[in-house]
Amino acid sequence: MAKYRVVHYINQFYAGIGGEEQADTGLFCEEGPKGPGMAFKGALGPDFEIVATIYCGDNYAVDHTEQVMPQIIETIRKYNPDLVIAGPAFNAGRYGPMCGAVAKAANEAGFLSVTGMYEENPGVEMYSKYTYIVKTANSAAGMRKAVPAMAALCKKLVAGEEVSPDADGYFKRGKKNVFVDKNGAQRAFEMLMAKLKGEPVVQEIEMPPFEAVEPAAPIKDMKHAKLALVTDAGLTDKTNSFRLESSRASKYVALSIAGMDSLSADDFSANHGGYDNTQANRNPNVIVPLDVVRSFQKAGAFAELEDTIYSTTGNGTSLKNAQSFGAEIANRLLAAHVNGVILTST
Amino acid sequence: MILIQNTVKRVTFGDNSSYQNGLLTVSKEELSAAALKNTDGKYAFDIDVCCPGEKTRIVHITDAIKPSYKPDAAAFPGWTEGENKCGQGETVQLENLCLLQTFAYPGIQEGIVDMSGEGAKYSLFSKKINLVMSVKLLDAAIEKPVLAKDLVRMQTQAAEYLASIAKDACEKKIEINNPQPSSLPRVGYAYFVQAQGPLRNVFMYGKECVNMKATYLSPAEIIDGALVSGNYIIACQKNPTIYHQENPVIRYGIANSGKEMDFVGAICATESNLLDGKRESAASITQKALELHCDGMIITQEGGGHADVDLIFTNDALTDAGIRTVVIANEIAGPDGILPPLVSFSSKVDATISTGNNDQVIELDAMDKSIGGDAISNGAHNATDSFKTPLGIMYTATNQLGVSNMTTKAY
Repeated sequence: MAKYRVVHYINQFYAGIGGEEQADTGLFCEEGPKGPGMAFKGALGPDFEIVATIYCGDNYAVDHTEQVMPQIIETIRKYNPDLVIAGPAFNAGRYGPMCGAVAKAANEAGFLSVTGMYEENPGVEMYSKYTYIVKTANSAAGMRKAVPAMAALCKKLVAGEEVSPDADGYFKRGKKNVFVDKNGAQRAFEMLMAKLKGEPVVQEIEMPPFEAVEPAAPIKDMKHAKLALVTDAGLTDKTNSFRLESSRASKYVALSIAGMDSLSADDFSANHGGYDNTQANRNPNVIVPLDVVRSFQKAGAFAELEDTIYSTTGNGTSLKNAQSFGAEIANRLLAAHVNGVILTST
Repeated sequence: MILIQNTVKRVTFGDNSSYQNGLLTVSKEELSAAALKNTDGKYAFDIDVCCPGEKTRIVHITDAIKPSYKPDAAAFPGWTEGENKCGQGETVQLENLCLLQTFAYPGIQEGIVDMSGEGAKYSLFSKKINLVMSVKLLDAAIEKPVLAKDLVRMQTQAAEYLASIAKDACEKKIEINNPQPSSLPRVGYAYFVQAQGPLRNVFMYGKECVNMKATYLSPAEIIDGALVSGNYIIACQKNPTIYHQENPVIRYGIANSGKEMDFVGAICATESNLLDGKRESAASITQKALELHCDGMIITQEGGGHADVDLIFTNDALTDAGIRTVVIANEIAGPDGILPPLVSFSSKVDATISTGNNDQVIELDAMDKSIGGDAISNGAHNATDSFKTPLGIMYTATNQLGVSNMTTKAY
């Protein structure tokens, strides 16, 4: 039987060139295994052959990514491997993302790929979606455990066997819909019976930790403060010329309220699929209370109101989009020297 | 309660309605007249039938209902005529036939059933004969609350009429008994409905559940039409009437009560849009579960977003009271399934069932025919096109009651 062909990517350190002082080493390729490749050769066994080792200095790779990546892929194609292994990179902050990038590019070029990293390596968050990143220790001291784990996964992958993050020790790439032999209600009863008997259960939805946001310090001098209005109630202009979505928003909009004492139904409307918009369309101040806020401003409760309302639709909008809208809006408010925000939600 | 089940094998249209040996002949005129009784607005219907395997796409679906008729009482109390004897006496139901209602209206998001191809995998309706009543509004000036009630009235009256055609047939008779207590662990069901006003409403015996206090319902009542859906907004975040009638938690509970556990029935509660209301629901469900001496509870929701808070509050309140819980939910976790699937979490949630991720993208096949409209609601596609879409627009694909065998798996 023909052996499975493997191309291995490592950095200058593992290629034996030198440490940080040699991180500007360019891109090289040698036939056969090198550095940790020797350990992989042993762990993968006689059915595998490491046909080539590509290596590059970490700084060089980062500084010349646009030239280096196509060259790496071209080299990989030349050897036409069954599998590409990168690293393991442990907790190395430049090497990890490079291993991830190589593994991702190999994958996109149609080659199976496996790498290994420590959970805090930035490469995990950047690339776990695109390739198999086996969980490793945080330093090269973990090489003896990392190589067999990566090799075991490689063997399963080339054989076309089913793999899973739990069984094979890699970072979850994603979750997909699958059909099983029992409906959700039956599975729920069976899980409940197990729980009542004190047996362990594996839940189907994990509870992720939510990022804790530290509240900003209170405004000390409200009388001289500048405030802004921000909303996720789907406020938009009368004709929704921005095409703000009524659900799953892909954008936020900036609406000028310069010189206005309240939101007029002639100028603004609500486009939100999560609540009945009838009242908001009659009187948009019920979702963003410009009328009341202006009366407080006139009474001297605060000094200035930002001329722009930022608005999006908080209805099935992805967390990722919401995070990016939030960050952009916060930056615009900071640039406008806003001290505080009234955030209305529906 | 005695359930008489007649299984429809074929549907045709004719001048007179009749039922014989699985052949249901429907007079469109009589069906329309039955549907329109006591409605306030002006409507017309397109009435179609479609069968599994056809290259047909049904769009703009608002509700699905199981045809049901009670000889001496209302099939859907509060909506159809007659006394409320829900859960008692005889009920005739049509099996293998579903009445679908379609209606396009601002604010109602797209809901699709494909009768064949890739999309058909994600629907239990693709495996049944569907009689579709596409509602046309003839007087656009109608007030939304009036329209919303008319839609439910049309759907329930039509469903009752269809089952009445087969009222003299009796192909299968089953007895539904509310479970009797024994010494086994007692399992209850926290059954949330989403009732927030017109077009996003659920009704218990005809009354909207907007300000409903947590209420006990027996399994037989639920199967027998106590709950009717008027919630039309989001295809995968609403529980149609048929899945109240066929609620899989209730069905499994009845079928298996007395084996490993005693199933005590459902505590039905509404998802308030106020935080205090959510706390109150969680507390009163827990109070009722303690009164029922429940050892364990299954919790389901309707809708996402703030409905997740009800799910979590209730789980935590029950857990704090020493009652074991399992939560059933679908996920809104992004196309790759890696974003947080719910918007509310708790470390006390340790047993969850996933009914699928709404955001996974699927590619629908082109169809030969559409029912319910010529275009998809957002206007981006003709109704018969092949196109890619998040699964969430396929009607009840990730239904939150756990009707389907779908779940999510890490890869």
